[in-house]
Amino acid sequence: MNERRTRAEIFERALLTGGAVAAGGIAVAAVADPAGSQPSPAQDAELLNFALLIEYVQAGFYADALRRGSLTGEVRAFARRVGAHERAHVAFLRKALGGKARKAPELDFGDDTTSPERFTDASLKLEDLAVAGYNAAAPNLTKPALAAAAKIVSVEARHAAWIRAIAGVTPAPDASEPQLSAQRVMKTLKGSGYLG
Amino acid sequence: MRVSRRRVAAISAMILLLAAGGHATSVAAAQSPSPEELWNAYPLKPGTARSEPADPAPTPTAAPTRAASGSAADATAGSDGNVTAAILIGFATLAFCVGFAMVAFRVRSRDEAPEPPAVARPVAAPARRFEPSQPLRDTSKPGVRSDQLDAD
Amino acid sequence: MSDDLRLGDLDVDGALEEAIAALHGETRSAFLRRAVVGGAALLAASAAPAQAAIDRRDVAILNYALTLEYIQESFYGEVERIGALTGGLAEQARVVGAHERAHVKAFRQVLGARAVKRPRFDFRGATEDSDRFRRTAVAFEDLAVAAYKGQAPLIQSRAYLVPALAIHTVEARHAAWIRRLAGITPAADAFDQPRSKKSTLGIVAATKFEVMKPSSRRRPRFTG
Repeated sequence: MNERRTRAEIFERALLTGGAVAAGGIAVAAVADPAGSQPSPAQDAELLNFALLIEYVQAGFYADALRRGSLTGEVRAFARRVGAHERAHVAFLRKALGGKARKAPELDFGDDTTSPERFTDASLKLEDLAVAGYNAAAPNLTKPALAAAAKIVSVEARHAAWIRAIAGVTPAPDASEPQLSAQRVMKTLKGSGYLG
Repeated sequence: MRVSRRRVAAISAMILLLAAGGHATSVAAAQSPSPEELWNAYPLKPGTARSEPADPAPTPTAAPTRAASGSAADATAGSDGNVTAAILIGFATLAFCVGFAMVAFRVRSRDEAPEPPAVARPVAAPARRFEPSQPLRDTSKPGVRSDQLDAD
Repeated sequence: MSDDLRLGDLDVDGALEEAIAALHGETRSAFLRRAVVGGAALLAASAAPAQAAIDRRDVAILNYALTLEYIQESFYGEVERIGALTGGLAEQARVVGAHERAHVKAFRQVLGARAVKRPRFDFRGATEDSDRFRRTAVAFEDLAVAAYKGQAPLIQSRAYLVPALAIHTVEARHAAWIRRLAGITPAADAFDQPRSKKSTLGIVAATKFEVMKPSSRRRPRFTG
């Protein structure tokens, strides 16, 4: 008799604990807003490293495309100029992050850099995604970091408009940019397969 | 027959945990597109209907990108808004097991080892990679996105 | 492609000799039609904070943005009304004009009674002549990008920072678009520079596009 009551109590106590933890956790998650918390140098580093990753992918993409040598005319001029910009962005962010800069990622672009059509398609995605990524991060940056990021993001938007015009797609699809979360941008970037 | 309030509370908690676990799993399965799907569909046209998670890529060129030709995408990347639910279920389950184990150990040292009571196992949390550096919560505000594939 | 067109070179009276190469004039009208979607929803959604609570410095920034949007809205609106442009330029003016109208609407909605009034403008033919349109549009769009960039770090409320950044990059898209149509590189440098409010409004004033209301005349003295 005593054993059975004690076992039931164990069960109940554990369940109540579990339930309380779940309820408390849900309440905390509903109130807390980790990614939207106050700007700080530590958060700057995290967000700028996210931007640096995007820049690494872009710089690597244009370098690979030029190496393959299938681009001509305006598309080639685009790849050369824009590639130089992305390299400058990588250098800038690495300098800003110093010892906190993430290391260069392993990249593999498969066939996406082998023809003008695939290149144009992929470049369009990367540039729009870069704009979305910077705009997702920017409101959470400290003011100095925001000022720096702002100088880059408008150039990414120019790149995006340029390649869209080359592709025959509207350079500016909407009056204001779609708002994506940083997580959504990262997930989309991973979907490219370039990061392996 | 009087049912103790503690028993009612415990049973309610169990139902809550099971329901939450089941819901999170089914929501996660139904709503979250894979990274590859996101890449292929990107960028979305403004004003695209929200009800089409499998919207084809809007770009005019026919050449598929690398992801579309079947290379391995990151399959373990969890969906945004449901990581929180899954983690909470996991914690709750863990708390349950720890609580049970702790008290049972104490009891066993006193009594002979009895049969464990028939317990309905809580639903296991879906396997997701949790990266501590990632914020738990998708902080995009509703109503200011035109991204059509967002889960929340 | 030539490298740059300097801001402030709004050569409204003179004529610049430039070889304009027509590049890829074919457009996909279906995509462009779908592109004309108002972005007012974005700003409207962030108008949630009570109007009384808007920081007065943010009000000043929003009104400054509204002023620049008024100019662009009027400029592109007149281009469309007069209808002297054709092809890619006409299409750019139509799409971009719709965006600027959406921006004006959004800022006016957020500011409510605090919104500055719409000025009157006289563009003195810059909306009818292809060459002058190209030059003026390039200057306006680059100016808008630099202006938004200059203000972004000064915005107090996150509710206005997010849409301001979302418009900032759209203006950059506009700039790249018209630059390409003008035969100059859409993205000249790796980094775009901010411009202060004072510098920006100075450039705008130098165009003399805004029609100044005559100062209130003194009442003539009764002499007889």
